[in-house]
Amino acid sequence: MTYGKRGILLLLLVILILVFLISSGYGAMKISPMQVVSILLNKAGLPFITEFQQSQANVLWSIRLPRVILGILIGAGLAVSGASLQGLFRNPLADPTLIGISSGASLCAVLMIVIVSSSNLLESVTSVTGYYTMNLFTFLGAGVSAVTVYILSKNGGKTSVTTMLLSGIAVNALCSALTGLIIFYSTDAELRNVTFWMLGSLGGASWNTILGIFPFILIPVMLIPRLSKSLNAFALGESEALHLGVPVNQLKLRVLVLTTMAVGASVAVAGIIGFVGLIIPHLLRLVAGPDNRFVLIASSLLGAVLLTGSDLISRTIIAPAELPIGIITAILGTPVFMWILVKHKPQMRSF
Amino acid sequence: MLSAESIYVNASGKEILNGVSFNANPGEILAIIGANGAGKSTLLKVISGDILFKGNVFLNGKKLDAYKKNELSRFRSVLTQSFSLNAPFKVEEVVMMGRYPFFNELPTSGDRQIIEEAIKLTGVEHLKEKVYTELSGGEKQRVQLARVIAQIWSDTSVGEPKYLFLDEPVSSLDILHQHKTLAIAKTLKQKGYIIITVLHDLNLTAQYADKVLMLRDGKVLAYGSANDVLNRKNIFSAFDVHVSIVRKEENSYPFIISEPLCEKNQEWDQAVLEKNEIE
Repeated sequence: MTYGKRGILLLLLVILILVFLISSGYGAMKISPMQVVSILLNKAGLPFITEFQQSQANVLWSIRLPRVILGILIGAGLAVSGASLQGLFRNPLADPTLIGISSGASLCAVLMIVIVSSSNLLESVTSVTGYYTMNLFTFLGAGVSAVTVYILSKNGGKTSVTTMLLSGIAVNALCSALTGLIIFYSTDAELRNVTFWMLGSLGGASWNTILGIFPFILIPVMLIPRLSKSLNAFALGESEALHLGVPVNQLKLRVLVLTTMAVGASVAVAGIIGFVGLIIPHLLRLVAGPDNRFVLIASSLLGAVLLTGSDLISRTIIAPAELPIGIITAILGTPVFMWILVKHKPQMRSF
Repeated sequence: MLSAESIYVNASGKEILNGVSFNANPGEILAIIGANGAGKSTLLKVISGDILFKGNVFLNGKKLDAYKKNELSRFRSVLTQSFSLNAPFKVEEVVMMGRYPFFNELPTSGDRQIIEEAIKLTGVEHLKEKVYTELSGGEKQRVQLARVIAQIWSDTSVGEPKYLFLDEPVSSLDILHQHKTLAIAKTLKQKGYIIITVLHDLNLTAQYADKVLMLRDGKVLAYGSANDVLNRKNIFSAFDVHVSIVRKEENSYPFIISEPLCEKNQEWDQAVLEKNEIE
């Protein structure tokens, strides 16, 4: 990696730390960045720098911190998933929401919520094991969608943009129809739980949520960058990658499993948050080129920054009410999506 | 040495290759020629390990499927006809991918030197900083050639021979670069590489190939030295085209000039079929 790219990574890390400090401090009760650092130092049993009140420490520890960390986890997971899926589909428009992976996960989450609330097990959903079960369900849903779209959009070793997006539309349509069907047959109590969940926000963050999704996001975020050289070679074409010694089938399986893991986990706790996996890698490629050794790691960092920042906006812009975070990422993401479409028009016309 | 023994490939009930056998030795360019659909590219895919087949392929005496993929990638590279790379990598980065089998995270100074040499050899220095997706078809083909050469490049010819498989390497190139590409193949051959290439141009085949494998409908029609294989009868049987053959001197390579399709030739066709007495 060149010095320029290392510099960008370092810069992103610094921005992430700043966003973390500002976002944890900002809200109804103001906590200055120095106080945030002091409270954290105090928790760790170290001498702190600035004075703070116990109430500030409580708010930070039980409300702000879980939410900010959840934002970091989900942002990193969604962005790195988007970037690696784009490598797998050899196509810059492969985003977990657009190609139906998120809606597959969402369908299974709704199914589980209905099953659980009809059998009066609701309380167990908010425990760590509850989150693990939920993750398992969303993982299955995400996996089935991902494999379906991948198989449908492959045409003699190539995936065409058109068939990929159309398969995504088909999977999305089917999933939302089935979700609608479940909602139609659910009782009032079940409906309330489903609707509450489907609004999709980081508002439900607690330490239990964090523990519930931590491994499912951490593993992909750590392992996906290790596939970057193989994904670069995969860009040449499937047989070309094979000739360079890349175990192609293993690579496909790894990308699909790891991305569905991350997307499934983030849908399980925060609902569908669109466009993160689309905007982030695209911006990074625009700045520093398509080398996955840079794009994958940088996506995690910038994704975390974007989602934490968006969440800060979502909970402060119309305070004390909250704007669903999906609205903010969609407003940021749609122009990028259109920009990619315009840029790839000549290429798409040939299909 | 590469040896292929009675290769059969069957796709949806149709025999694409039907009992093809051949050998290629270090320091040899073997050209595979034949009409469209004769099975040339399929045969190249067989020896590259891309498709399933019946029969045996041995590389350095070891069966092809006994090698691990990453083992093969260290001494055999393949130039395919696909230019489907659509991510905007720089030319230098594309050539560096040829060294991927040899380093883990970062290329060594040796790898950097090799890609410099490969870039110089293929004459794409002026494109180094350009974005691959913005190149012309011919430039893309030369960059891909640089990549596959970087993959098997070494200064010494110690150890097992290295293999270069080329599928129509000159299809998008102007006449100068057609010759330059095959001259590179010749240089590598002289260093002891085994080069197997699919070619369409019979004159290039005559000028650069040591051995020719001529296919028709998945079967070997003729196999031997370029001089023996490239005669009027074989060429007519393989391509249904009449040619005249001219030589500068008695033993120099043949110049093959094709004749237009016309009535006179059709009468001649009859003569070929009935008497079978041309050359």
